[in-house]
Amino acid sequence: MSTEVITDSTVDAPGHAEENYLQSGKGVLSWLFTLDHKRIGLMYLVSVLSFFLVGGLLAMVIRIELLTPEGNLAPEVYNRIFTLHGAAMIFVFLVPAIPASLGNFILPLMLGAKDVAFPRLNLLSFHIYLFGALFLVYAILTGGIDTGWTFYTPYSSSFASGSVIAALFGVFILGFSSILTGLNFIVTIHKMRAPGQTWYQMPLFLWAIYATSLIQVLATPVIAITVFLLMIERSLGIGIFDPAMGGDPVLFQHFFWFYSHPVVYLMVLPGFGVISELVAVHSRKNIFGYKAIAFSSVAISGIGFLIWGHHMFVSGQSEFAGILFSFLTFAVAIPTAIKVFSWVATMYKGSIAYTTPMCYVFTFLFLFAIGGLTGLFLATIAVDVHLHDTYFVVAHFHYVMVGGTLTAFLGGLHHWWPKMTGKMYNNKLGNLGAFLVFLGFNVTFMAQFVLGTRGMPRRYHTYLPEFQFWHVISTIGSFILAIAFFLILGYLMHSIFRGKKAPHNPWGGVSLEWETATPPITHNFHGQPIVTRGPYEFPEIEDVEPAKAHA
Amino acid sequence: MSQAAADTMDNTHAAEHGGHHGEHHVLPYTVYFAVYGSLLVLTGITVLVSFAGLGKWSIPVAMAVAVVKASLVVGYFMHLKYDDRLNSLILVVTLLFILIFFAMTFSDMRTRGMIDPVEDNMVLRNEQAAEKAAAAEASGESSEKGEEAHHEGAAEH
Amino acid sequence: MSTTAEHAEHPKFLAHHFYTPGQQADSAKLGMWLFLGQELLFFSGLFLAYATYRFFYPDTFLEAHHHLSVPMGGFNTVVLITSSLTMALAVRAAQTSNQKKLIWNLVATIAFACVFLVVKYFEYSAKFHHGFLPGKFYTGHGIEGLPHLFFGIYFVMTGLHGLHVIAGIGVLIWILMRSKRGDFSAEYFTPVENVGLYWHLVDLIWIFLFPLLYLVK
Repeated sequence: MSTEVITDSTVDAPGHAEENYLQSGKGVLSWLFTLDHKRIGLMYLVSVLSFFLVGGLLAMVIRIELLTPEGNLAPEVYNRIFTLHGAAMIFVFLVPAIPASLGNFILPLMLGAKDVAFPRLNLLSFHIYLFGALFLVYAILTGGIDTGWTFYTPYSSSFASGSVIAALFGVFILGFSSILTGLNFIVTIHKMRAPGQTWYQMPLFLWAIYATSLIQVLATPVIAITVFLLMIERSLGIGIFDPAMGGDPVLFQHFFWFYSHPVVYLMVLPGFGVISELVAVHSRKNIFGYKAIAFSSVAISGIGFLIWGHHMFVSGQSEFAGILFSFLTFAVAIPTAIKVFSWVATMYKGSIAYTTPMCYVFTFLFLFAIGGLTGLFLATIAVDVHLHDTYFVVAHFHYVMVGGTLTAFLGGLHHWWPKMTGKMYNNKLGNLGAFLVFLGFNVTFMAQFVLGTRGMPRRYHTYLPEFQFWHVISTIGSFILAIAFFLILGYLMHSIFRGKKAPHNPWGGVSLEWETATPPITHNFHGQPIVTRGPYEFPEIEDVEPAKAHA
Repeated sequence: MSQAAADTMDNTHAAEHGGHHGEHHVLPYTVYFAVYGSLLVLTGITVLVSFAGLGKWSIPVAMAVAVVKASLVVGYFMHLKYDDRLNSLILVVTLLFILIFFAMTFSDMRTRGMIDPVEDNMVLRNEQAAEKAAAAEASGESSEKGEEAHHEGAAEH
Repeated sequence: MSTTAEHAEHPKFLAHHFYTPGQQADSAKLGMWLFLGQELLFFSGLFLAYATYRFFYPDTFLEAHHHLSVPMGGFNTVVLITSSLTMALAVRAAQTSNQKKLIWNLVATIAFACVFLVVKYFEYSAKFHHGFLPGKFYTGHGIEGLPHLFFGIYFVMTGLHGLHVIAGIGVLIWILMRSKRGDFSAEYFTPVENVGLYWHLVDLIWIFLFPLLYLVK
């Protein structure tokens, strides 16, 4: 074993003996039954983006419907559309988006491992994901669901029409895909780190993925049992959640939010991880507060389990519990703020490159700060009673989920795109796309904050005429957003077929994934890489370091 | 004793080939049978105690005995006592999160109506409804009740 | 497959992406413990539902539980504990490369699991006979309060536990077949160990189910 093997693979020569992972094995079956984490990651990427397209088109239908105060669609149809938008975006896009696609691809590379710990389990989890998504599609084709993605009882158990059970079964199955991915990543991070890579030498993306995986393993089984009970309740009427039979519908909400609140962190934590990578690499500076960022990820995933009751302030939960949950909710702002301050401090006096990934970092910081801070409004019980179930809530969680997770996902995608495909996209178009996302998003959802504070309730397809102005603004924003996404899709596709060959390490990153060939070979590394320096110790700052020490 | 002899033979055998991963422990048979015996005795104790009628202490006592039994199974049958500490940590963390799940849910269940007393909460209403339903035995009526309760729940705020 | 020097001795049970059998065995066991952790959280939802309704309707629960058969439940507890012992002995046999003991202990474990299910079948049919069924199917007589909730929870808890027993029999048969083929020895017995861990979990859950459902006064 020697350190030389690292430099070995940096010889990025076309004539090199070993094929890259895209070339080894031809045909659909070589993809569908591959055990290679990189191929599985790419398949996840294609799947989640397809579902993002479906969920996005449904969102456009919603926005077009809301252009006018009087409803054009039948109310049941509108209910089904917003339910499907939510269910598709959350269960098949946001949850697997970063960990299962980018995480699958990058995690073993960052660890200097040949694969994840259980490659067959990894493939199984992808197949389970497809199978679960199939049930959701089946539910759409056979009548849809109109319960909202939250499936609140007793409406979902006793009154709702449509294919609720098929959709629930889909969620049940998707849960296992998520659990297996999380389990796999935890074991991989514990057992497969390269020699010399201590916990504190892992890139922060891995800390975030680790915290995410903890949530996947600890929270997802509870949603599994929840939807399982709901399926039994709906089909057999056992009465556990049915007030008519002595059951407690609020208990369902406890069950549901025990998973579904931590799942918010499950979606956004990997985004935090991506941003930590991007901000350091594109500012050419060692990350500020490495341990603070690392442990705040773990803290967020832990505190995230203590605060689910803030979704239930007006649901009949006891006032005492409401106060407790409200208090604890404020606590989660602390680790989150630590992260944001650390990222900003990392940029300070860094040499910031205006690359597309960095533009997404700016977008993220702005949007996520708004999303996070409006969350504190909603954590205050008295304010929440007023704002609950209005567009304020809708705008808040879109700022977190789209402004946080999606922009981080896009940033990460642009950051690792050259590594994944071996091709470069057009940086100018990339920056334009990032700007349009920023603009379109703010126009769409800032308007919804205004609507919410003025009392526009969510999930209504008709509204009072005085709300129309802001609804029109919001719809215009959504079109800008749609144009931005199609622009991004366009130039990324173009780059695959016509793009320039990517340089070996376009951003000058020093974590292990940049030490492999571009695109990586099937077994990732020639021999075993050995880690001798931190993930953000860029060569140019090492020279400055002694001078600083003397000063 | 042939069993003891077999034990030592097994142990030396394992010593030759074993040690491939850290804590590769082969426990003597006596440990297994002692644990098995204790589990049976503890099961007997739980059954006997349940007939003693301990009132409000019955659940704590039954659960305490169950926890002891579970610890024996986890520690010896599942080798956790001799295993990587990380695996124990996972078990502890899991139990901690189960505790959170229970404690936070019960912070609601136990305190309903404590600050703002309600005469007509769902549980009371349903106890009455169940009495009525038992008397009338009309299933159609009960589903109407459910809808009513749902609307009332929504109207509260 | 890698051709680097340190891989010259790569046993056939060792997957290509691991460096040593120890790393592989530890990873598998860690993964299994995480899986057991998620199983515990899965069941914790049912225990929480039980706790909630017991808290809401203590009298119903006290009265309804008299209609469960303590002798049958107690017998099944002993059966499961015994199967746990044979499973632990099977793992021990694998650790010591004792092929014959491994196979016989696995057979015994499967047999006890089947006994458990047979007893469960008789218990269930007694409940069906008396109409002590969950929710709206409840047609029994003689229990005050909301017994349909108790039996709803009883059937879901024991039913899901029973499904885990059936799944356990499935993986035990798989392990038995592999043992007969001679796949396991002191060098490599991770699958036996992990199936054992799973089987003990099934026992663990029953250790809590039994007093809560059958015994608590």
